[in-house]
Parts: sequence; C-alpha cells; structure tokens
Amino acid sequence: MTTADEGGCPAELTPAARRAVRLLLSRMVGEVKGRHVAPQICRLVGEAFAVPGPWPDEEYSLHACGCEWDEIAARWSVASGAGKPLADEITSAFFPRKIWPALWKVVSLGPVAATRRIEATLQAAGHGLTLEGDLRSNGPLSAVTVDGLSASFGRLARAAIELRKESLDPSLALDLPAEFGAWTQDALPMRRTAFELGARQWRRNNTKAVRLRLTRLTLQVLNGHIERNGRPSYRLGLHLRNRVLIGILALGPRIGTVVALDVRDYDAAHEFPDGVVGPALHFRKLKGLPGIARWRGIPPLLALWIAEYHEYYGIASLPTAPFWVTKRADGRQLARPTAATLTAAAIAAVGRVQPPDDRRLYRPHSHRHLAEQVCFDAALDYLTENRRRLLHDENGRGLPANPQVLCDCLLDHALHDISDRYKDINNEDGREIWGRFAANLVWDYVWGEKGARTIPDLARIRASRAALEGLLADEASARARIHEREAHRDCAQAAADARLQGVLERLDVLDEHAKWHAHFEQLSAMRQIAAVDKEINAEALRLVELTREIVVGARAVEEAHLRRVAVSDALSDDEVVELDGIISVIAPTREGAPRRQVSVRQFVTALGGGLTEAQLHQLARPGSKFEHLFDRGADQSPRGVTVGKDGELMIDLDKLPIERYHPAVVRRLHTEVLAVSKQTR
Amino acid sequence: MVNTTVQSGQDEARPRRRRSPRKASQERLFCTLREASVFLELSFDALKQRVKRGTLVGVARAIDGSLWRPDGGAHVLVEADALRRQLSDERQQLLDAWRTGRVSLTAVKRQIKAEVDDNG
Repeated sequence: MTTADEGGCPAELTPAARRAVRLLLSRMVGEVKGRHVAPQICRLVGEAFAVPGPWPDEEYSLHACGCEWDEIAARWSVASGAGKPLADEITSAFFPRKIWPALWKVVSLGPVAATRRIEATLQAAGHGLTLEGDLRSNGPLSAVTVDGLSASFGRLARAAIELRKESLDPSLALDLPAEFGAWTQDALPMRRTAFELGARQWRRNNTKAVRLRLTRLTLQVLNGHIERNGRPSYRLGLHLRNRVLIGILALGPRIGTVVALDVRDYDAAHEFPDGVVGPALHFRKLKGLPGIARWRGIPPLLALWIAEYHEYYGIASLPTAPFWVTKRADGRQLARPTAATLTAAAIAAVGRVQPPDDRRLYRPHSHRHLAEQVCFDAALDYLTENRRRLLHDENGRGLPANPQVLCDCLLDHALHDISDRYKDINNEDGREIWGRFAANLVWDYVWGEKGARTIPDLARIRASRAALEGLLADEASARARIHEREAHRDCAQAAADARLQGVLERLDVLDEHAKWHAHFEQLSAMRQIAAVDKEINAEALRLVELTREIVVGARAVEEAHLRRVAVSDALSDDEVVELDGIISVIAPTREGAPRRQVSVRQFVTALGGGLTEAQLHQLARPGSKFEHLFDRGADQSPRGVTVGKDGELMIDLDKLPIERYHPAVVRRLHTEVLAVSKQTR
Repeated sequence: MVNTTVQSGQDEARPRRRRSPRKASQERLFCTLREASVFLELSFDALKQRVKRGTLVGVARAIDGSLWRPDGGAHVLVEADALRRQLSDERQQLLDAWRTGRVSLTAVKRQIKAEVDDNG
C-alpha cells in the first residue's frame, strides 16, 4: 500500500512537483490525525486560489480509505521511515486531486508570499468578502473560525519546513524541488491573530446549557408518547431512539463519543472495579484521549430504555451494528450516522417542548453543559452528607476532594490536582467508579423529583388547616357545653340552697315525716349536682385532650407550610412563580372576616370556558360523579358548595381543591374574591 | 377587516339578539376542543387525535400536571392564548371578538365559511 500510484494526477504538475506535494500531504495526513485539519486546509487554499469545493469531511475520507486513524498512522510510520509518500488513495481521500495544483502554488510562493496570500484571504473572509471583493455567500467568518483556519495553515507551513529538513538526509533521497529551499523556520512570518486580521468575535452562547426543565420535559414527553402508543410504527421507533439519545446526552458525553457507539458497547451487567455489577456504556472515542476507552455506568431506567430500543429494531443480537438507527441507514454511504444526524434529532426532540418565545437550537453540547452544572450541584449535596462514610469505605473507592472531581469524572475532563491521584480518583478504576456514581446522581435530577421545581404543598396545607379548623370548632363546642352544664349546676345548687333555707326556717313546725322528706329531697338534689359535676369533669378532660390535639394540629399546619412538593414540568416558569405566591389565596379566614364565597355565576366565569352555569348546577348536586372540581364528603356531596340565603348556590373558596385547578383559574378566583370583598366593604 | 357585528340570520321574524361585551374579567380563558376546531379549521376528530398524541399546543393542564377538565372528563380544554398564537391575524381578531362576547360562535363559523367561499 505504501507504494505510490502514479495515475490520475493533475496534468499541470511536473512529476517532481507531484511527488513533493504527495510527500507534503502524506505528512499532513499521517501526523495530524483528526481535528479536521485536512478539510480546513482544503477550504482555505481553495478559497485563496479559487478552487471550488465541496471538500470531504474526515468521516467520509476515512470511509473512502476503509481504515481508521490508527491504521493510517501506522502506515505513515512505515512510509516515512523509507522517505516515501502514503498511497494516493489515502492522500486523495483527504485532499482531493483538484486541490493539489493550488497546494503546489502555495509551496512555490514561499513562506512569506504564501502567508500573505492566505492572510489576505482570511482578512477578506473575516469581513464577509472574497479575494475579488465580492460578498461571500455565507457571510463573514467569525474570529474563532478564522483562528482555526489560520492554525491549519500553520500546520501546513510547519509540514513543509519539516519536509525540507528531512531532505537534508541524503539516505532518504527525497530530491525535493528547489522551491522548498525557501521554507525555513526563520523565513516563516509570525502568525497573526484573528483580531489582527480584522475578524469579529461572535456571541458564542450556542452551547450554553439547556434548561433542566426542558430536558426533563423532553424525556417525559417522549416517554409519554411511547407509553401511549405501543403499536409499532415508524414514529414509535423514532421516539424510542430519541428517548435513549436524550437520556444518554443528559449524562454529558460529547456527541462524537455517542455517535461512535456500537450495539456491543452496551453491557447490561458490567462489573465495575469496586465489584458493583450494573448497566454501562463503553465510550471508545473520547476527545483528546486516543486509545482510551471507558465504561460509563448508567442508571437502570436508561438501560431499560436502551434494551427496549434495541429490541424494537431487532439489533440487540448484532453486536457490531451501529447503536443508532436512522431512517436512511440503508441508502447511506457511511457505516454509521454522522454527528449531524443525531444533532438534528436532539434539537428536534427538545424543540417540541420549547416555549414559543425560546428560539434557541439546543445542540447536544448544551446537554453536556447542563450535565456539568447539575452534577456539581448534586455532588455538593452528596459530599456534604457522606464525607465521613467515604473515608471508611471498604471498596476503596477513594475520596473526592471536591464536587468538581465528580463532574470531571462524568465529562471525562482532566483531573489536574495531584491530590486527586493520592485520593485514588485519578486512575482508570477511580474514574469508572465515580463516573458511574456521578451519572446516577445526575439522573436523579434529570428524571427523578430532585430536579423538579417546587411549590408549597397546597393539598396538605388545605387538609391540615381543615383539620385544625374542625378541632377548633370542637373545642369551642366543648367549652360551650361546659358553660351550659356549669350554669345548670349553679341553678340546681341555688334551688337546693333555697329549699334548705325554707326547711331550716320552718324546722320547728315540721313533723317528723316532713323533716325526713326534706332530708331526702336535699340528698337527691346533692346527688344530681354531683352527677352534673361529673359530666363537667368529663367534658373538661375531653377539652384537655382537644387542646393537646390542637397543638399537634397547629404544628401540622406549620409543617405543611414549610413542605414543598415537585410541580409538573409542563407548567411554565411564570405559572410556577404564581403558584408559589398563591398560598395567600388559601390563607385561613380571620375571625369575623366575611366568608370567601362566590356565586355559581362568578365561579363559572373564573373557570373561563368549558362549563355552563346549568352544567355546574347539575354537577354540584349531591351524588353526581365528580372528579375534578370538588372534593366529596362522606355523603358524596361536593365540599364547598352551600345554599345561600336566597336559595342561590354559593361556592366556598376555602374548601376547593385548588391544587387540581389550572393556575389561571386560581388567579381568577383570587381576583373575584378580592372584588367581592371590596364590594362588601 | 372582520365584520364583528352580529347578524340576525335568515329568519327576519326572530327578534335580534343583542350581545353586550363582557367585562374584562369575564373574557374566556379556555375554549373547548369543538370551539378550537372552528378557529383552527380542523375537524373535531383531528383535534382529538392530536390531544391523544400529545401534539396539540396549549391543552390546558391542572397544577398537578393532569389534563384540566373541569367537568370531570368530558371536555378537553385549550388555552385561548395558546390557541391565539397559532392563528393568522384575521383569525386572531375573530377569536378576540368571540372571547369577549362580542360575537357568537355561529357568527364566527359563518364568517369563516364566507371567507373560504370568497377564496374559492
């Protein structure tokens, strides 16, 4: 393969020049693997010398060669040792032959003139112009793009310089043309930055994190679709795939890593270094870590989703099949979908749940940003709670110095601190263990209740308040009963005293029989009074019990006020803020304040559609089937519906289950009540 | 410009029913699927399918995330504001007129039918 194929070269190059270009390009291809240098050089030189594209992306080039970067590097090491170029199929896969004459022109211009030409091109492109002064069809290039292109040209220049140096070794017999003589390190002008070339920095926030709520909602919506529509269809397959895609992206891998997955890279029972067995994905292509592959633990639910997805497409038993199934898989040149395909899928999946005023396209890298942020927050909480336990951990998992360590393990970033090595995190075992751990922490936020926004627990507040009100009413009635019994006893006492007084005054004139009669009457009166006393005592004991219950009930109300519950991700932020403040709507009525009631008409208005007054009257009858608007009492009558003085139905706001209402309805009811109370004032 | 005055219809003998605009607080927040189908010019069944598939924008949900159906199950409601965002300018005017009680749904239907007929 290392012998050059002479056929098919552009005619305008002399054989010597052709050989030199091949040597130069072989060096570029063999030494600069990845990083899209070849397409960038093609693009830049093409623009500078008016050679029209399109230029192949590296994925397509590799596909055309039929090999991977490692194999190309191995071939280059063999060829360069003998001073030979790579095979033409390989170099021309990355640098199409139509660009070769332009590349030779670059070499023959020499370093100074070539740099000037390239910089002039970049300068024009930074201002949105071509070298001829026409407007570029795609607009100006940003400073970042210009910097990247300029760096790629730097690599080309350095390759030319290195080639000339190598030609000094007579044993290689490179026989370079005289044009290479000018390419020395001294002669190469210093690279100018993009800003010096006049390019503008663009606002870069296209990878800013997607909001946690959107990721959660996306997963919930996809999951909802799948659960509702179990029937096999094209769409169901798409949802299954996208659910897995967003689920994996939420754990923070780069899209390049995700695209490179095969079916065999999913292991439902991977054994981690700490002995834990669980589902994991094998990330084989990590940016900046050639040759390193890592197992990343995933949550069991995501594993289940992956299994469902593979089973649906019947690829579970094809270990070498690509992980991602796409519509055009059959007609595609490449073995696997490109990052662009999955990026489009991820953008579309989130786009379905985006609010209309949010026009951003959430690319996969936005999910990575989110993973870092969520992971930091989750790890902070976890480490605060479990630091002590980790020190005595039997599995030797090491001790993360700070939450950032978990984020770096999750995102495969470098751990810079020497202390991480001594805390046994910065080795492949530690990364695997803590990567799995971080993934599970993040998943709790992405899928579980931890990541949901919270509002006060309206149902609980309402229930505890109702219970307390009931107890207070019981207490009041118990006190009233005691007062009544006391009055009764006082009456009986006074009557008995008066009778005794009468008897004492007439004692001399009374006969024996009458005296005994008066004696027994007095005794019976005393017994009655004692019985009433006993009743009062019993009531008093009950009152003590009630007071105790009231203390407990009041504490329950306080606790209910402090408790917050997760709210549905479908609600917008404004609605959640509103609900947070809505606690005032169900504040307890003060003593003497008018009851917060609205008429049926006002209630129907507040509902804002869907129900007529007549329908509501029908629904408010005892025994009608009611699910949504009212709680039902033991006798099946709707709670909170009372008959007013003139026979009109009134709705008592304090007894409505407003946590089941639409936020806009709650707001309307609130304003109705305010309007009513103003009128009554 | 949309004609928002109410016509009495074919039957001249029937007394002309006058509508007074509702108070701002009485403006409709929600419409039923059947009402929404008039403005969206889609069949009721098509909208029901969309609700089932979860692709209808603006379906009203209660605080706990469930579908907001005040009558306990029969009606699915659509938020009028969300519906409004999906309509053309002319339809938005019609919707507003209907929400504030200035025109009846029948008048809206008639208006839309006339427009469709005019456009062939």
